[in-house]
Amino acid sequence: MSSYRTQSAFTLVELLTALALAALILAATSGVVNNVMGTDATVAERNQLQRDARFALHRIVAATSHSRNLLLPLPDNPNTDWPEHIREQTIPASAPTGSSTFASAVLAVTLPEYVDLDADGFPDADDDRDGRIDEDLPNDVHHDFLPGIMGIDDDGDGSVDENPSWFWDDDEGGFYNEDPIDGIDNDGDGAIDEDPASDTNGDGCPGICGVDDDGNGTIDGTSDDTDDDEEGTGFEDAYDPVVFYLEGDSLLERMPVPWNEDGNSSPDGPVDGRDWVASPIADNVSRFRVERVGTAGSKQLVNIELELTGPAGGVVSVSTNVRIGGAL
Amino acid sequence: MNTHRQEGLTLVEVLITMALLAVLLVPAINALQTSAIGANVHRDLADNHFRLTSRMEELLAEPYANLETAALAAGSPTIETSYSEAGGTPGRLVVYVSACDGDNADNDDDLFTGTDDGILWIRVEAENTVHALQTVRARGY
Repeated sequence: MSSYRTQSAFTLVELLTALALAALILAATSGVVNNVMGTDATVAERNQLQRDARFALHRIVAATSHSRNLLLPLPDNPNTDWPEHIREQTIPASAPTGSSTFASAVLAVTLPEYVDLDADGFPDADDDRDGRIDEDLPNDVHHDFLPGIMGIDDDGDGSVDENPSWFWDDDEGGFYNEDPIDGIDNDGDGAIDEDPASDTNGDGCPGICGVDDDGNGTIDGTSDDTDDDEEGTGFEDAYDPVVFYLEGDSLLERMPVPWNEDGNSSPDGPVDGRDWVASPIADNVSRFRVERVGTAGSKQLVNIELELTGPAGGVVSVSTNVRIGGAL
Repeated sequence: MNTHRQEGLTLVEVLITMALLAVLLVPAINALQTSAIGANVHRDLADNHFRLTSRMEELLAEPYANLETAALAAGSPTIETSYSEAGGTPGRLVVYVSACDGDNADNDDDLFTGTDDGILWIRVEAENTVHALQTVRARGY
């Protein structure tokens, strides 16, 4: 038995023609494929940047909206030629305004009550564990033995912790004990109740003159005018600042901690304003801007803008306004 | 003898194949399109979230008396107030402020009848979208 099978293969010409056609089609579509792949990379980068920016903004909003006091930016000081109330920093650095030597951005608020890192049942902001937050401030309100907040350019003049021995100077303004806590801008620098003395209301009495502050039946019971609540103890609770600032192109969140992080002790105890940890909450930051916003009669607002630029050139910006203590 | 003939596809076969492919590709492309639209919707939602919360924070920081004045001027919870962004602003935010019935003393479950002194209803919405935030604010807060 024989089997005859007709099978015709492709000829060389047919193969070459097909290859040529395929090459033409591939050439035409490769641009599209490249575009798609490029777009995919760009979108992936942008999505990552969006996630990072939103995470950082949520951290900032959470701290700010649960805090009782905005420490930085300071209100604008009419006696300087740069705006203290707007702190903006770009990477690479942009030129500072006026006679400021470096433009840096910073946001600092007092530690929210919900933070209890050592899980002892007391808010970390309640330094003396008496159930009250930030009462009876020391002369160095941040209790870090440096002017302003340690390691931070408080007033935006480009210098950090200048005149280090003046650690009673709480805003690096070159003066100390400027403004007692009475709701008035006593020294005319644009800021109200900044940089108080140990007698925070400046009336020369423990607590408020002529008032039984602690309800124990005695009016101005001691001679210690630094005892702002007449409890018998002067200097109970310092401000514990949560600080957001840039280091390189990383946005850091600096949290005060209730343990002796730096190994230094002071006569007041092992834990003070020098004990904190800083963690990056966003990388690739190309711009960070914080503005203290507020008009007469309004609640204190902060405007926050954050811009991230990825290695492939993707740029993402997020911004929001948040009220100090708005979530309390 | 076993003769095996091989022939190419007929035109009808090719056309049927193409028709089948076309029918099957429609849902596949639709799925891609939905995914692309979904990404845009999510981005808009996220962008609007910050814009709406940011505007709401501003309104909650406003002196209460100013909001009250704006509510009186509008006269109705469906008429936008002067706190709205200017017409023609891309992604315009519209703000409504109204007196409201905080205690529902009239028992009609209508927020805008039997209104109480000292409490305002505030709504911020991104114009022509479903994105909106609303809250109430009491005098002194």
